[in-house]
Amino acid sequence: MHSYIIRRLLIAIPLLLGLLTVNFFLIHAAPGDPTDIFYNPDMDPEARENLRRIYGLDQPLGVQYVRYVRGVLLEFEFGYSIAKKRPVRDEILEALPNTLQLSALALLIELTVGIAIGILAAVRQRSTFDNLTRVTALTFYSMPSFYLGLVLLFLFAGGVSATHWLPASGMIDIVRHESMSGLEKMGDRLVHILLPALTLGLGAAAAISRYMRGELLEVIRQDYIRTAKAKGLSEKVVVFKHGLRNALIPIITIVGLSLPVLFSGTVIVEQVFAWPGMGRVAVDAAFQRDYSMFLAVNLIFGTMVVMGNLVADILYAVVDPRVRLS
Amino acid sequence: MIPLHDWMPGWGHWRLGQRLKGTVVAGLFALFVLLGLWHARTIWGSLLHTASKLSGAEVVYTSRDLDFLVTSLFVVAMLVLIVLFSGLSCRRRRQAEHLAKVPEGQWSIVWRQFQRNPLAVAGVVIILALYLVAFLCPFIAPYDPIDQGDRVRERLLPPSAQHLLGTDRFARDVFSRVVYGSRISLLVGFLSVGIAVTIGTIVGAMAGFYGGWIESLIMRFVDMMLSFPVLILIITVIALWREQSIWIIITVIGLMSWMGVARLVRAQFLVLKEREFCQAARALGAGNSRLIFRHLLPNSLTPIIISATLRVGNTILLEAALSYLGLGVQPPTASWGNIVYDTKGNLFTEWWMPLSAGLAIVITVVGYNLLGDGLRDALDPRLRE
Amino acid sequence: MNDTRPPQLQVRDLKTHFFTEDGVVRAVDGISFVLDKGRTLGLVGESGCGKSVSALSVMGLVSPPGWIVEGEILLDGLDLLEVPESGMRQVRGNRISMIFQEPMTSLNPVFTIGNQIMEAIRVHQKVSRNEARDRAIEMLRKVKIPAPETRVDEFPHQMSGGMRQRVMIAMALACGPEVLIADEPTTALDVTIQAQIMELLAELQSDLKMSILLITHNLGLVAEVSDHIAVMYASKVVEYTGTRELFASPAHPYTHGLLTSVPTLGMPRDRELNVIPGQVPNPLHFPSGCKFHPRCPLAEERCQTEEPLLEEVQPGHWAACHMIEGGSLPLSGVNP
Repeated sequence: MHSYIIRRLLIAIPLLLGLLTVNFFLIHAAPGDPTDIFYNPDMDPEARENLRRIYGLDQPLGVQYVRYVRGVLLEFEFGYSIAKKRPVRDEILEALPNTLQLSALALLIELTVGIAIGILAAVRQRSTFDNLTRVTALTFYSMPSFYLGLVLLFLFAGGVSATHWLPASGMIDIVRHESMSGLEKMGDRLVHILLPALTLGLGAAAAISRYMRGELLEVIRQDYIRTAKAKGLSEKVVVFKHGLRNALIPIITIVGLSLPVLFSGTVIVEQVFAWPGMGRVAVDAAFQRDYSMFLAVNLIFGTMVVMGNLVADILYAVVDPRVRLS
Repeated sequence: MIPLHDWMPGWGHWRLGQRLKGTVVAGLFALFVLLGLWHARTIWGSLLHTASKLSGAEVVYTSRDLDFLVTSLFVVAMLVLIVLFSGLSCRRRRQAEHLAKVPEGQWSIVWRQFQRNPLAVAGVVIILALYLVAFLCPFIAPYDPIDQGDRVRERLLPPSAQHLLGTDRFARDVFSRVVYGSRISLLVGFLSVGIAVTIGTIVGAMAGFYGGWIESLIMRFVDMMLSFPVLILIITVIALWREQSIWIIITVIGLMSWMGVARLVRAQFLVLKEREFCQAARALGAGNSRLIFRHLLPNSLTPIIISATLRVGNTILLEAALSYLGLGVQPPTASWGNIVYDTKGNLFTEWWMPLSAGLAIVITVVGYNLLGDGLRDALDPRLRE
Repeated sequence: MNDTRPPQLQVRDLKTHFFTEDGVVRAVDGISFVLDKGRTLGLVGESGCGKSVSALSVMGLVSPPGWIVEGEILLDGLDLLEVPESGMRQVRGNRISMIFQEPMTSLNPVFTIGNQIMEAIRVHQKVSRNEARDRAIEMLRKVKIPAPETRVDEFPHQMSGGMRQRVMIAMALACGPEVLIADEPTTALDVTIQAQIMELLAELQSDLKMSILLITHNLGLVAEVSDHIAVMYASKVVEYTGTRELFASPAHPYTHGLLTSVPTLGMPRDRELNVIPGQVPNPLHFPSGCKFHPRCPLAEERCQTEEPLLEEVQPGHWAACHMIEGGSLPLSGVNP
């Protein structure tokens, strides 16, 4: 088990270094440079050179690369955002927790809703419920996340007969925030995160529910399920103990592989609900052509995916003794 | 000789007992006849206009005129094609009745399996209808999609008889924009997936066939690319390379989504390489290229087709997301994503705009996913539920 | 056959049909047999003849689209088909147990073998975890797994096929069942392991005083261990009698064909092996009349239209064939 985890960790390291390298050169291969943002035709060329020197852009690319890698690895330093006029690290540290909260809750919704519906659909194969969830899942799966977000906004946050059941945007109630007690603040936060997390989670749950149904139906056909029934176990124990555990093994891999999709989704959802996370930072960076911010955002997202997959690998080993013990 | 009634769309099939086919053919023919009659003056005018331009007259000839010309020719061509199809298909049918029963080919078995699945057929119908709309845009849309009307009086009108889906804040007809948006989505879906599948197949085939360090290098790279959230990567490239034309977007999406295909093709090659028929071909002295193009690739086609179809839906969603963020297709060109982007802030008062554009996306993607699922079920019996 | 014993399990006119899209598959179509207390009954036939479905029917484990259409399954006089599902759960694994053909896939890969045996014990008996664990180790010792105290915590994938089948046996016998159904228990194993497993089963049978229903296509196997044999062909029992009787004077042409198609040690090398011509019929389209008639060397006109019933042709010897006269076949006999 330990050697398995260590092996996985060792694979993750070159992957992260590769991510860093590819991103660095991809972004530096782009035309223009970060100081373009100050560009105007009347600018003194010397002043511009000065700027380039300040940001270290006059150095050869190799030197810049080594400097950047050293900064990231040793000091968690991602350079300076010219557009935001502050260190990239500060911006990231502000946005990252928000995105992590949102993704974690979305993942929770994805797993609980997806797995629960998948199990029910499999147990009642070909029933009305099965057919209904199949169609619903297909619709959700085929829906752009911004559209699902807008529909939820419309239903719960002021569209239908002006019902403001849930807030439409942001993370906190700005007006009343100061006067709230600690518990109220938490509740307020939860109310704000609900719609974005649902948008992100339900779309992903649609796919998971179909996989779950398929895997469970596959597992139920296996010989060991027949053995379990022959022992005199009840249908419930057979499905939930013997079936579920085995059906979950491939689901862990699928969820791990779908993490990039989830994070891509945060970009959209954060835009719809004005959630100040990494996705917003990415879109802002796109409009401001913020080179250093891009590099950091890509690195952080890549790292989150790699870490997520590491967790999935470990979970996989926990659930499946064949992996753990080989 | 083909009897006259066979040339009449639908009639021949009906006589031969293929009633469903006959009805569909006749219906399509009727649709194009009606369209032709309805727009007879437009078609005629467009032809005359083009003729005078070609004869060297000094007339203004816009891209919209070209659009009308192409659509007019399309309608005429479809009328001819349907008649030709009816005649030839009836003849083949008659000949087949006289011949001895030939065993069914692989594709006709697949087709029969496919037809049994009503959802898959629904998918095909949706997609064909959408392509029809995309080709016939100028004849379906009542207004020019980028033409701004009276900015004072015709702005933000709710749905009405004049404007089926109302107007946007630039007083453009939303229905026309949604109709024209189909072109963007279908184009992006088709071309981007084409690029992705081409690259993915080549790279995956190389990895699977040659193995060794080439394979490890390629697959490590694929692993790495797959751990990027694609949308963010695409945003990076599009934003930093400034150009946001539709062609750039198609290319970038294609370049960023071949990794899954590569993985699939490699896995397929690895399995097929060990199969007896490949071993036998190799033993008979088949060269590498013969092995790849005659044996490995044709046998990998099924999963490639399935995954390509399922990918189209995702690609359409990706373009819509980019346009929604304002980073995709740029106004005034209409795309379903940027129609929603245009409503920002007015969601509750202009609900018909995001609703219609969004529904268009959902229907399209559902269509492709139904088709993909149907193809998978028909082509790969092992995956059938 | 000198001492008679009371019946432990009686199956009468059992019909199990599968209602598929392509039509009704009559997988089991009116079979009857008797398994006496403490005895072994061999159920023999080619694959696809309905042996396994018969076994699953006895266990009450036929799943849709399959249904038991009619018949009686009497366990010590109790008709199992009248018992509700909750009651059947008390029977399964407790009074009737079953072991399967595929030891490699019949154990759940994610639980330890100890866990799986304990589960079988604790579902039927109120014992603590520790007691159940001790019992599981005891059972493992009984099926001759070395070092049971450590192996109890191992996972199925850490064991060989033979070991896994022993675990399956330990699990099936954990609650001391009256009847053990062994469905091709050794087919997937090496020949040497096969012998060990059969020996173990025989030993445990006398030890635990249980009856065994042995399902197999292997005539050699049943000859060695069964007291009675029921031969199945195309969803029906075509012959049923004591083992010695069957081998000495087979009454049904199918049985006769089976026996002469097996090479035996010491038979003259130049003697040709008998081959039953034709193929096992498709259960969707059984032939009319006697289902064996297209392959039968003796078939007459009557055989094509009229289905023969299982009749007592000699005392204790039942067969379903029109051509039997005075208890034997008009075959100029090669004696197997």
